Amino acid sequence: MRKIIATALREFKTTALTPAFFIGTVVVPVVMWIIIILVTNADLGGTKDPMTGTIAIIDTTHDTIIAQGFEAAFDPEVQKANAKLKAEQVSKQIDKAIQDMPALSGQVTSDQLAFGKRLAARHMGLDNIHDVTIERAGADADRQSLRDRVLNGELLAYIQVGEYSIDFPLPPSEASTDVDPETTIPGSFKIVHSKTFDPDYLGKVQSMASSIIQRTRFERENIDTKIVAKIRDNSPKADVVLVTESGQEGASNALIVTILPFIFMMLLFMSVMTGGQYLLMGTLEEKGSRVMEVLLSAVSPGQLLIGKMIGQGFVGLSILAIYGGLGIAAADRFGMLSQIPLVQLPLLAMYFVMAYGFLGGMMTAIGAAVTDYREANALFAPVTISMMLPFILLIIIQDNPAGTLARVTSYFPPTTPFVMAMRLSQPAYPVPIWEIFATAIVGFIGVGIVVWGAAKIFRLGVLRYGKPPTLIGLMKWLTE
Amino acid sequence: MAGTNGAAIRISGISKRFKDTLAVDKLDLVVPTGSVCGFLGPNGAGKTTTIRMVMSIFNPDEGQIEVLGHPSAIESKDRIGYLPEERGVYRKMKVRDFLMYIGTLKGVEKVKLRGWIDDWLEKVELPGVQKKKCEELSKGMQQKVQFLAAIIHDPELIILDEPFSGLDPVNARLLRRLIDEMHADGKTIIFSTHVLYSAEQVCERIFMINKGRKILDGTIDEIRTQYDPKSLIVEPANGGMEDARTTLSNVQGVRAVRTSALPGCLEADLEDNVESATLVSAVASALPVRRVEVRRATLEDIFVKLVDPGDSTDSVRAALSDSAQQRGN
Repeated sequence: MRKIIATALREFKTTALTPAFFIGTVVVPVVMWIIIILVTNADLGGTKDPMTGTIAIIDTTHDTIIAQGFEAAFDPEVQKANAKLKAEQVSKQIDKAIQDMPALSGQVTSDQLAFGKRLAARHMGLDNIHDVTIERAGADADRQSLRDRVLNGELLAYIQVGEYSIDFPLPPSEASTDVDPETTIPGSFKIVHSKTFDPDYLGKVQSMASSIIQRTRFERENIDTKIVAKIRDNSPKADVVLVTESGQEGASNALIVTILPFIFMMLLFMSVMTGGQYLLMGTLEEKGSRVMEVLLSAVSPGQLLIGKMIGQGFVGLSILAIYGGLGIAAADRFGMLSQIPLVQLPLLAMYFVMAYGFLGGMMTAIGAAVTDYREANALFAPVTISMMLPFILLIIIQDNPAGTLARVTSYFPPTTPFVMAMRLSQPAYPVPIWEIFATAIVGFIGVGIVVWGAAKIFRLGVLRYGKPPTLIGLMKWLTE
Repeated sequence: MAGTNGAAIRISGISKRFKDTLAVDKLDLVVPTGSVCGFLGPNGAGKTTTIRMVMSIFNPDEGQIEVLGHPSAIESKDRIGYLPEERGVYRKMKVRDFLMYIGTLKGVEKVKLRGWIDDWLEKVELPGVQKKKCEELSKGMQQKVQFLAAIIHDPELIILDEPFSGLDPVNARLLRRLIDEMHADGKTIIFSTHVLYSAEQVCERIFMINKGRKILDGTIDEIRTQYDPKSLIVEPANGGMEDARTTLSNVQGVRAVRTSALPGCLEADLEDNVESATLVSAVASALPVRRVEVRRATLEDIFVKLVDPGDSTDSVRAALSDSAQQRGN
């Protein structure tokens, strides 16, 4: 045991107590966060050049109402007025959203508020007055010629609006008849553009056409569009309250509940992968520098394997603790701690041990069997598959944590820890205690088999040099 | 605790096969406690495999190994110092940390280790490198650190696999001196080498294996007697080589006379039943000589005689070349 502890301590110290680890684990994420804040605050992204050019419109509706609508929308004065109005609306919405979320109101500073409003203004196009000329093309305009003009940049796009685009519902005669898509688009419109047209502006033109058509439809039905807008902007807000075990009411956040399983799984994945990678690199280094036999003169291969796995396991656990702790601290700060099933955290630690045992065993075996990282890559297939499987299954399991797939994969040792971590993080679908025990037993039996195999491969491979084994060759080692 | 019957290592009929290659074939060996033994043989003879089995790094396919009274080295790893042939250091680790780690694995308390490390670094002429990273040291210096890693825990049994490999003559001499000192302290030392001169200088006992089988086992004196070339080297005083050759041929007990490889010397091959030493005075009285001496068998002669060069031409040549180089120094 003394030798295992000494080996584990060295592994942990040489990995975790180094500037490189500190920089990689703590400094880099913090620096990245600061950069994101700086970039977004300082608005380094800049403002796009406004849309400039000509848009041709083939409008065959009554009174060419769409073309008129576009001409009005691109009028500079109208643009300025609209942008100002939108920015004010967004600003009010931000204020209201903060008032509606008591847990947030105390946390948001005036600086943050100003920043949010500034961003909103930018994205609403307050600083972007487009210089667009609308060219009306006749119903019989040559489409090919228009396409050529789009391609050579003379036109930003051309829009074709069918005679019945503003009709709602569509006249039955138009809905069922065969129509020429080049000339008539019942109930819809067509925008033809080249790949050089900015996708944001394409979206803007598209939404302008939609809203002009919608507005016209309302007006034709004698519905006041301003009232519609008001009703839409003041949709009923639910006051969703979470009752905690202590009987108190707390904030409820559906987003947290939705992303929590993903966060749990990512935490597990990150910590396990980090520990596993260090194990692989460490084993390769010891083999490559030929220090392995020096170590084997003092400890048995089994002691060395276990010591290394424990040491790097604590490295992974440190990462889990650091990021998990930061997550809990953040949740507490924003009053969402009650939504995190803290009681499950010890289980998360257990699933870490399970996942790490599985991956760590495989990584150490691979590291012992080969002599460099390139050779190790060839043996990664089982590792990659077992690690990616939970991500592939994520959406299905998250959608129905009590479904057949979730239950079956809970008993498949490579996926057990990840799937169970996901399931346990969704209190709406409680996992029976017996199932936690049963999956843990199956999972740890799987880990035991992997570690046994790893120990065998480690013992055989650790002093072997030369041609690396294939996956099949590695399997054969298990029977030697 | 030494092994039973005064044996530090007792190997009985061990064999080891790697796929189609029989690396060690029914090998028997006894290393007496307190002795310095040379483990010789050409490359690929099975020396390292045997040592790894002694160290319990490999298990033999058959046979038994007793180390320091235990059925395997696992029970007594902390009492054994082992310098493997494939040796290395943690390149990024500081020398002191590396030696502390290995010493700790060997069960020595950290407090004791600090003093021992400083003393030993002084002894191997590496003072002041404690805080240097291993990668900052030259290859020769790293080899000394590796040697210290093998003996830092003051083991009873020291197994050195090719300890002289890559060492310059000065450091090879330093290592021989350290082996002598440790021997004087009562340690049992076994080292494999193909530097025959070093083995001849240091060892009391020699084992030689080839193709996994033992071909020689005994003390240096026993082996020399066994492989006594039965010849005298004679350097005539007056330089008359032909007259001297004739006179020498007529001395009773001399079987044949031939020109020696040594300049100005003749070599007299003796009858099998004659003691070489007894004929020295007879030769000296038969003709005026500048010198007359008994030619002793060198390990080099025995090595060449026992190892079929056809099996391992390169390794034998390398062994002889290394040996000649060491002798020159």
